[in-house]
Amino acid sequence: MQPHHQALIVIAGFLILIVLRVPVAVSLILCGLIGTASLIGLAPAMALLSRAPLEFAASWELSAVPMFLLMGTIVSKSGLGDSLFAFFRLVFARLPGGLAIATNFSCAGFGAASGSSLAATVGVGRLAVPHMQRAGYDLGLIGAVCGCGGTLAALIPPSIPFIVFAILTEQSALVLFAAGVVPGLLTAIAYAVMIVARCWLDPTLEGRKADGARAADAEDLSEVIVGLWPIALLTLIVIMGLYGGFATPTEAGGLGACSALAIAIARRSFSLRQFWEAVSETAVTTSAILIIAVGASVLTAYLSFAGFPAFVGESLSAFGDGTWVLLATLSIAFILLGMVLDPLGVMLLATPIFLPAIEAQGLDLVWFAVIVVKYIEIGLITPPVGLNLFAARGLLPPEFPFPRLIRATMWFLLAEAVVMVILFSLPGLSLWLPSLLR
Amino acid sequence: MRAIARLAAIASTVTGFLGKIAVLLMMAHIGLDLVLRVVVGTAPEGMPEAVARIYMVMVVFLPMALTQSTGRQIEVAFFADLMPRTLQRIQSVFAALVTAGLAGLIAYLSFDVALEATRRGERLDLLAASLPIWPARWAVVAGFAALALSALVQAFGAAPTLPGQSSEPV
Repeated sequence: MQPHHQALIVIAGFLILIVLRVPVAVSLILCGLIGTASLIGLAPAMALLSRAPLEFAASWELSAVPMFLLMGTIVSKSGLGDSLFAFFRLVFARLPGGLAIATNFSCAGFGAASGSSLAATVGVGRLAVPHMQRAGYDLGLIGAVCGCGGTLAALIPPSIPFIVFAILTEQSALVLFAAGVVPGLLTAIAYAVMIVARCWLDPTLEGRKADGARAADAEDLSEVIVGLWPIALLTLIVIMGLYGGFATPTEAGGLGACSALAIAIARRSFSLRQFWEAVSETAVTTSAILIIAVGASVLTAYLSFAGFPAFVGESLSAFGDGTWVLLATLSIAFILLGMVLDPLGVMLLATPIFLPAIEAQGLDLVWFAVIVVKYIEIGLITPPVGLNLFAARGLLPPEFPFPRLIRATMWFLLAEAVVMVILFSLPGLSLWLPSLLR
Repeated sequence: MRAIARLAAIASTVTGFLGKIAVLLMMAHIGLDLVLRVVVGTAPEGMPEAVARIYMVMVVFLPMALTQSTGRQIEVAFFADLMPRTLQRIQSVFAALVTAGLAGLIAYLSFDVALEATRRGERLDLLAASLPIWPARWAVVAGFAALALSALVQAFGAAPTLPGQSSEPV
């Protein structure tokens, strides 16, 4: 049997294991080990496995992940981002679905100070959900906007997925961060347009009768703007660190975590117990996501040994004009994998397989990074393993049925489809900001 | 079984605690290094190496048992949830045993590597000094061993009880 055919069997075995609820990381490592052993023998495979996990994890670049996670958790637990919601609530008060739009843009703003989709969903949702519930918003819309808005943090810098992509493809994380800004804002705008259209057509979605007026907020805009200083300062520190040339992404993450802690202490909004909770959550989340990265590195190393990426490239080129076939295949693969795997697992597993074909087609890797991060962001809100949907579900009353949340999310996926078509058709949107940095 | 369960709980707590300490140390070391560089213009060498080779290894591997015991491991529950209850229990035992087996194997394999690194006092050479990195090797061993124990206890806890057996959870 050809090694790449063997690789197909190993991939099928991996899918069977995850269907049987074996942890994703364990399934990846086990299949990588079995595949490698079938190629080079058991003893050499074991020898590789004895060193591979540490060699992959001991990465300076990857250390940015726990630091940005810690920053996001501190921001979320200390309420540093609370003023964002108050600000956007006032700005969008007159629009149909104003509170949902405010939640959406607050998530984008929160992403600039955290880099974590889950932190954005929980951090903003904790505040926005009670407001929307009081106003009588549809619970499906509430959950969907929190879950989907949170994914914007994957695109808005600093973004953990872009850091991982930069490591995988040896790109500059700073250039990739810049590439995510316009697509991130475009996605936020697409969500907002969809929310406005839906609430305009069906006012009951925002708890309003067809002819009813929206309640105006009595808060003073100038006071709310002044209240934005903690999140603005934190974002400024991180961006200055990154683009001022005195901090690498990891250092900027560490600086961001230290600054978030200092600001939270200065505002007296953070106890020692909350800080320890933030540290605990960071340790557990980092371990849960990076052990999958370790597993993906073991399986993709085997797939490379087996010549699987070359096999995929050759198979796709047999279809004639490679570019669109490649992009269509890639899209299907990322969407399907995103439905059953966590985002980093999808990226670490699929990117090395498609990378040689992308390079062979002469496609821009920065643009490809945006497409990959968009797909894994979509993976965060596609059932059955939409991690952000589970986080959003936790914000809603326990009796609210999960399928209703999934149905409400379909509208956001429709908006995502429109954004993807725009990004595929106009690569310049993703490449304009990076071109200023290059 | 109770003794193993107690040992697994202690292992999970201790390794989890050390993982959290590593997060704190990572943040403090990076922050201090940046402050020194900005204020004094220079900082002791070795921060990136310490972060990558020591703290990072501790953060990734040590909390694994805590992740497993608190149900925070990332897994696909959707398909398993569609199965009948009895099948679900069998599937839980299977998943936990696979996890325990693989984690035990990696702990065993990395034990030799860690022992060898400790014997020769593995260090990373910097410009003016060297950084001992062999302790991080033990973080991999401890992390996977604790995970194996945790998963093993879960396997026994989830196993369908046979007639005449106590159904008391371990």
